[in-house]
Amino acid sequence: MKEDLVSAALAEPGMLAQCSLERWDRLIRQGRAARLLGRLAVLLEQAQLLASVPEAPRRHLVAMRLLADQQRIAARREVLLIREAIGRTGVPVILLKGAAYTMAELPVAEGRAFGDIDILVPRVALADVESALMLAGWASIHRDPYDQRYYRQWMHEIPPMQHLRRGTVIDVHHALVPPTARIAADSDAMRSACIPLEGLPGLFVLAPADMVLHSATHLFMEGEFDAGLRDLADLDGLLRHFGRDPAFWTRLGRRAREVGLLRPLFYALRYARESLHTPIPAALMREAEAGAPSAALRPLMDFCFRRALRPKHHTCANAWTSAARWLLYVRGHWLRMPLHLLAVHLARKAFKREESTSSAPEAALRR
Amino acid sequence: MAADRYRLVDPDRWVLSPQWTDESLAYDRASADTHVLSPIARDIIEALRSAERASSAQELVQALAANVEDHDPAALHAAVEAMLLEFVRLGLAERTNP
Amino acid sequence: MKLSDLSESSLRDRLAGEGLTLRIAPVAARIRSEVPAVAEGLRLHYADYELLDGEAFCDFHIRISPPANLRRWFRRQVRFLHDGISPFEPMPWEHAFPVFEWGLNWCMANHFHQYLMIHAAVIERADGRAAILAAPPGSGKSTLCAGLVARGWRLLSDELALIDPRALTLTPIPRPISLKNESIEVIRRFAPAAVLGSVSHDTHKGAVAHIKPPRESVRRAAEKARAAWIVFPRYQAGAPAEPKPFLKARTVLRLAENAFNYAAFGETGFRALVGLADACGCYEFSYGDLGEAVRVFDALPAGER
Repeated sequence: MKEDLVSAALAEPGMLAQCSLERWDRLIRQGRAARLLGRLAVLLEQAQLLASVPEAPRRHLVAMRLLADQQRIAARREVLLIREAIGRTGVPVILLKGAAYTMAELPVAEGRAFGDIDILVPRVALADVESALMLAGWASIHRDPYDQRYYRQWMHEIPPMQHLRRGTVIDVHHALVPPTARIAADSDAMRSACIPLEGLPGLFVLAPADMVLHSATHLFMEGEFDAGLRDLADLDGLLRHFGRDPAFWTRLGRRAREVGLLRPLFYALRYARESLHTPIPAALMREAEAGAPSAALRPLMDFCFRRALRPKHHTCANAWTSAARWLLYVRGHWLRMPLHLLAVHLARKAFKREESTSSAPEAALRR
Repeated sequence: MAADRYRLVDPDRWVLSPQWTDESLAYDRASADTHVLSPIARDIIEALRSAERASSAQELVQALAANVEDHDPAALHAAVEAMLLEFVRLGLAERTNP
Repeated sequence: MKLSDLSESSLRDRLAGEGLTLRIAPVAARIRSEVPAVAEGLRLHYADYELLDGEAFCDFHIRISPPANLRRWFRRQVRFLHDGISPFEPMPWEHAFPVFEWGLNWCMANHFHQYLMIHAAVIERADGRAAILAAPPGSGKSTLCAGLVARGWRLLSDELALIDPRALTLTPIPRPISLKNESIEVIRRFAPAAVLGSVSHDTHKGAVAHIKPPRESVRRAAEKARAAWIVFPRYQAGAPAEPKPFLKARTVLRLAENAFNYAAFGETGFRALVGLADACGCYEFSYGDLGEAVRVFDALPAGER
């Protein structure tokens, strides 16, 4: 009853052929919470199974796929406008996550729900980039001074900026991994290995192995798991695509050791294979063992990650799930900031109100 | 100005609505903006699109004159030139050497 | 089996317990609520809707219940939840039925991404021609919609037009028509036979009441319609009911302004609205007297372009 149907479906789309309407009901709800209905629609279509899905759930899959397509086109347009805005400064821009997948035309971008655009710029150019964006109509969202300081000091990005007319949001990062992380990574090496986008001078994406490592680090070393399964599905998609070249796996292991990200790689391979059946060569799994946590810690990490990487929906959660998420949230911040500040930050978060939803239903409708 | 030739920056960028009385619309695929076109603007875009090579203001006036009744040639010429300048300013058209 | 086939106590018990599932075309909605006002509102307005017993797949999972804090007992509130998510702030207990209706609107607007969605009423004349009444809130669109429906027009929607971006057909989602403030009295006088629910006072929109949708409109919910007219209505006290032809290019832009997801559809959206405007008679319409307005609509010319 508490099954994570989304992972099961992504791992083996064929299992949906015997799916009862009652299971479809739970799958659609879990999939919506996980923002993976679009991806599921794409996989079903590729396996030529979409047409045989019963009409009622199929409408949801089709609608979310369409929404994802619309968002992808909008994201592409947004990236070009960002390039136009920053282009004047001559600062090179590395695209990250969804924006990178879209512009590099990777299969994982299909059906993927989009949110903010993430870019990475050199730290020294941060002020110039921020000004250029403001000139072109973006403005900082968080005006709370604590949040501003928190972002600038402890996160590897400036607070998100929103375009005043279009409403789109851009996250400007200046570091690939948090600068205060207890896990030191050679992000300079990753940045210098970036690949230019054809026909779009000034825009870059990370090299394939680095893209995987960055995604793994972002998922397993930070504390936010609201999009946990979605991020794991991204990893699965990237690994399957790049892994068609057998040499990629060797490169991945070697790179992880080079840049000091063997631990997140271990987690990424372990849980992608477990939940999503990503085909990973045994040799690489063995190599990644060198990045595993201590024998004492491993059961606890398994416990936490296996729960946190489920869709955030009550039909596949229990009391332990929230405990697991909380533990990982604390760990994520422990990895990022000194202990004496961690307590302050956590206390503040506990009392602060959530980002407001609209008070008037109509305004919620208009969003 | 008289010797200048013009062409659309990217003809495939534009989706045009039917030519309704008084006004029509152009959708710009690049920016997702929708523009309102006066009849003369519409005629100029269509003429530029269908021309095999870049057009001069005079050629455009001749193409338009066929559609416009009772026009004052000087006024039409002035209107066409003003519209071309506006198109260039907006980045829709560019001046080119033939 | 229809909702009206349930006894009052049966309805209340089921709502408060495992919930009941209604076909609110084109979706199946599972509803749970222990709040009496919701049971009352459903019993009145959704009497003609089909009950889906044992329906395995539901599109919406709705709960209307008090929040899990002090407001459970003190200055009582209710929350609308869709599958555990609350899209807006809790509201006073007394407004539970309007909350349900607003929440359902939200669900629909966040669900039908395959349609071009416009903030508009849609009604169909007896001769099979439909009108899209597009206007921002407060323009008298719902009053006009209610008036026309009371005089025999089929109700497709009072709030949300669902347009197939390629076929350009209109998909019905008939639901109670919501009226605000003075319109409530206007409709009471204009259509004494209309079934009006109780009035909720002091909502953020003022006084709000709903009219039960005609049984026939609910019955025909699976029949799509074709638009023949696009009208931008505006109530103006004392104004004669006069449709003024509106330029098609401007019609497209104005429809886009009233749309939820025009931008998301990009070029397809542009072509869809252009196609609609091209095929329809487009008007601006002021009216001061509802009876006169209905007569004008009844006489709108068919097939004008």
